[in-house]
Amino acid sequence: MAGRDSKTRVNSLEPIESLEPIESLELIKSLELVKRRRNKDFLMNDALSGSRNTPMSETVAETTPSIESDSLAVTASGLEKTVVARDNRLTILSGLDLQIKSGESVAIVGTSGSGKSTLLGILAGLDLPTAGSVSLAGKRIDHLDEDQRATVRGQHTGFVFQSFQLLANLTALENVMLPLELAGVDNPGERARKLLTRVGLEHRLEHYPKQLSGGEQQRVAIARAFAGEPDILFADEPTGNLDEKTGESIIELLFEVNQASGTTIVLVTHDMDLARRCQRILKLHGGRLEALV
Amino acid sequence: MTMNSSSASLKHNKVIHKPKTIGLSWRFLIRDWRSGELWLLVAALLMAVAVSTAIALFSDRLQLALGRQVAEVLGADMLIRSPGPVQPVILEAAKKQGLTLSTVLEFPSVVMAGDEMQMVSAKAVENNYPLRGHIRTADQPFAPDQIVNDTPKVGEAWLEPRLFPLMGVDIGDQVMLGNTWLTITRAITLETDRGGDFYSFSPRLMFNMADLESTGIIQPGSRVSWKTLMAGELSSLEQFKAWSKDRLDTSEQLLMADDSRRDLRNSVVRLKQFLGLASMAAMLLAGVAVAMASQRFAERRFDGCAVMRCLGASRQQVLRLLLGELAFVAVLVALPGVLIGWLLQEGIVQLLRGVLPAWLPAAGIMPMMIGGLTGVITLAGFGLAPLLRLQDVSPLRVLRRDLSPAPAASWLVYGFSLMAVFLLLWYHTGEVVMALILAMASGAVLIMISLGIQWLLTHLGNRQRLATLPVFWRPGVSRIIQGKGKTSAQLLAFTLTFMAMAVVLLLRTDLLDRWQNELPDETPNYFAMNIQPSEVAAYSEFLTRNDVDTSQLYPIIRGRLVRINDVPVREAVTKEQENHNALNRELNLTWSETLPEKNRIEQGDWWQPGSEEGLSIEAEIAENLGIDLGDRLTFMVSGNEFTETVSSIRSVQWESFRPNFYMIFPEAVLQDLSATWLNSFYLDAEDKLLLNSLVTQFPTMTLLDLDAVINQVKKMLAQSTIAVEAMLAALLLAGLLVMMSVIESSIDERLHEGALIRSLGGTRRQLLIMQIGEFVLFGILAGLLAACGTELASYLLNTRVFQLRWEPAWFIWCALPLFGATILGIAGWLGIRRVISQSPANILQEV
Repeated sequence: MAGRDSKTRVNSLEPIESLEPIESLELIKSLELVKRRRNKDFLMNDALSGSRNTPMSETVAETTPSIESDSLAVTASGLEKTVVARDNRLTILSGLDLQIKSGESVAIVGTSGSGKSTLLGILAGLDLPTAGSVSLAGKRIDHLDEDQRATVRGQHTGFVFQSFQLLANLTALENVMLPLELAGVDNPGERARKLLTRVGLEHRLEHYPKQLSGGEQQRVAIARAFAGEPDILFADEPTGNLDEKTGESIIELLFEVNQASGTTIVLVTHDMDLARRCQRILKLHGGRLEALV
Repeated sequence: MTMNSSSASLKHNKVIHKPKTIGLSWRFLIRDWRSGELWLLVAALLMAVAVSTAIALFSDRLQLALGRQVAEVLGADMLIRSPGPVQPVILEAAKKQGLTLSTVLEFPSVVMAGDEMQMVSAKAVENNYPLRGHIRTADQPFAPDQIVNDTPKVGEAWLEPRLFPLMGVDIGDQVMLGNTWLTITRAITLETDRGGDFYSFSPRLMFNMADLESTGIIQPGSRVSWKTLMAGELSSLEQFKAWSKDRLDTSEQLLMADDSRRDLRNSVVRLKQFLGLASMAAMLLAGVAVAMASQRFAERRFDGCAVMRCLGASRQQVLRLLLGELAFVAVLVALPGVLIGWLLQEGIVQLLRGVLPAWLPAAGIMPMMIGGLTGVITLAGFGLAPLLRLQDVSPLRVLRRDLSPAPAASWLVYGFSLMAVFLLLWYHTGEVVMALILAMASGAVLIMISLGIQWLLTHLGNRQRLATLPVFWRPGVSRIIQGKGKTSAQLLAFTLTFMAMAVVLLLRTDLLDRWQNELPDETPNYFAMNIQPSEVAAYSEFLTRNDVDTSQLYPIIRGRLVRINDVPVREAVTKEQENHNALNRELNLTWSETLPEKNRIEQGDWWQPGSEEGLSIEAEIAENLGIDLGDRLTFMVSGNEFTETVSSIRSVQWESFRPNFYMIFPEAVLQDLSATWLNSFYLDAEDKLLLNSLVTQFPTMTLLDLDAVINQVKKMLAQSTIAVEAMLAALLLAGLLVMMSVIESSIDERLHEGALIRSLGGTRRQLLIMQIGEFVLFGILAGLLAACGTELASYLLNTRVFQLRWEPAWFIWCALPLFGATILGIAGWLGIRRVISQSPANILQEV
């Protein structure tokens, strides 16, 4: 940390105008979409509002960032990531800048080993950059320690992984309950059940991951990702372990739930069909991002 | 803006409380239990708690049993000895404390039958005598005897067998004691409270207290010894003791049951030590099993922790969650563990029923609490270090599975384990210094074995040599060498298991041999005393003629120790030492030109035959009275004093049932003093009628029948053997548990590797050879290391703790590797059947 402090500080002072230009038309379109969807009486809203009138002991809203920064879900500036492997310094990300607006869906594509997952890890606050700054939901996270970043993740993000990452000793229902339980949310079982019903797994609630097909496991993972009402959903090759047909249905589900909840999606994939479903496609090449769409 | 307000409205719906970790831990526990993740950890902990509880309870009761054996020597838990009746106020207070009382009077008297007169030691008893211990009687003199629960009725007398031929009486005849006639109804063969200074006993006549007055013997000034026997709860006894301290007058002496019954004590102490050691070994193994199980538990949670961290849980939250879960496990296991321990202990008590007294009070709550606490200590000591790794799981592991936390630091693992070992040892030995030394010694042995393992692995890890191995041996050997950390842990676990088993097995054999040697089949069962010098030749001839096995004859000269280094003995010793039995009575002094059998010189030298000075003192009394080599001791015999310098200190095997002496002198020192003679001999049941003619021919001789006592000890040792075997079985079980936990802890990797090999075309047979081969190799390595460790440990234990002889056990160098290879081969095969039986696709998907 100490080694990159000076650089981080410089980057954080850079004016926002100097970053990659925002495609304003896309922003307006996506905000319109979110507005429309939110007005609908969608099942998700119902599922996620189990204790509407319960008094609050602490709300996530208290930590909601300022309006200005809230319009940007993810910001990265001057990101660098180098690793040392067998005495060789390997640069994975080099001076990478990125802004993702709230409600936007962005696909990051690239060849194997181009650093897609590394970038996703840094953007999601799972890892730290060697230099540069990252903000998540308007909050600088690159100078936070692991536990502080965990709090930010718990409040703002959801994850879907290629290998599903379901806990083998928990049933489908318990897997979805987990983030709610960790956050101390009331009545997690009821909410998780509704979410699983939403992803079409109401008959598989008590099944363990190994008793579920790959597609079903990924549905559980999606339900879990949305359980915490994330502002931003990070997905790492969500269809990578699935056959084409299952993959398609998972994509459908992912975007359907996403649109319903107005969540920002950042996904990493080399599946161009999946990438094209996003509003924006960025290609990671030579440690930097290039816009494809 | 819209987005923001929308988002806010959504978020407002989410009501968040501070997460209740305890509740969540409980839910995790239920889920893990249901999915079968916890059984290994639970089994290991259950083992630790059950074994510990059983041993704690059993030791407690054994201690009580030992107390009981000692109480039998007094016939009570406590007694007041006085020359006359005890003050009524004292008796009232004792009764108020809830103590049971019984008065016994002993006095020398002459008894008559026809023309025969005989000096006897008369004993008047109340109907509830004895309060502890028992009496054995026979229907006819020298006939088989049995325990009786009654006492002589009014008008009856029980006589010691040797009185019958001496007085020419039979059962049903009458004897006159003082002014009254008593009818002989039984022959009394044993009073367990007739210990102590038995060499001076006249033959016993026991009668009912109600007849005392009619005998008219007890007059003011008569030489009578009053004993008020007391029995009751320990707390009441202690309270009474404290209360009476300043109220008893100078002639009233309060005696507590002390451990003067050395014949039983040494065996019981050694049994306790052995059980303690075996239980420590079993707990150590349970600890190793806990360590392996919790390592597996932790490793299986790497992914889960990463996901939880990814979902926003903090390091502390994850750790608290899992520690909470384990705390629940510890508490929940403690209850059934204590119950199983209690049942185990009941089983042992049932096995030893013939030995342990029927009044044995239930052990207190403390051993059970300690047993339960052992579970927590074992879990914390052996299981915590691997679990602490969980807080270092990186959330990035969700993207990169290869990111595992660094293995727990060695100092943490060993430090915690040794701390647990120390705490357990401390409890079981009750001595902090000894526990510390033992824990440090265990630590040293552990480090030596670990270094041995490292050395072995480094030397095996020759790449070229590896390349020459058959292909199906290569992955296993390679894994043993490559994964040094993991291999070391597993090898250490196996080595400790084999070592613990071997050490306990060797010690058990030594211990049983020792017991067998102490009480061989022809242990002398009679003591002949008061043999007059003029009778010695005839007596020896009588025994030789009748082909009786006999020991050396010793002269007995009765004398008091009056001065130590010319200082009167009462001034020379401390207040505590002053109460030593040896100072309060006459000692039996003897001379011998040779060191008696089963005696060993500890310090100084035995004298040359013909020596005119010297004194050999028994080690225990020397230590108790603070007497050293070169000290000058002055004795008074029949009004004359003589002084000798201590020239040697001897240890004596008290349980040998041979004549043993505190003080032995060269012949020249004592030859002018008048002596009676003593020896012991063995007589089997069929030859017992010889005693009639022996007693008739040597009427002044005193004969003591030790058959009953010897049988009691033999029975106890035989049953203790069963307890020892039971302990060994428990240890084997613990060992198997360790093996299972080690195999389970590596099963995922093996399943994965096996599935890969099968998918690459490997046959089941090849896979079997590969997997079992690895375990066999493990077994051989662990066996060799265990052989080293066993030799070292058994040497230390034999020479330092059990005072047994040590010889290298060469056979274990072959037996342990062979046993290791076989048992691990089988255990490995059982453990990895899944690797072979399941379809590779399933496994690859699952693991």
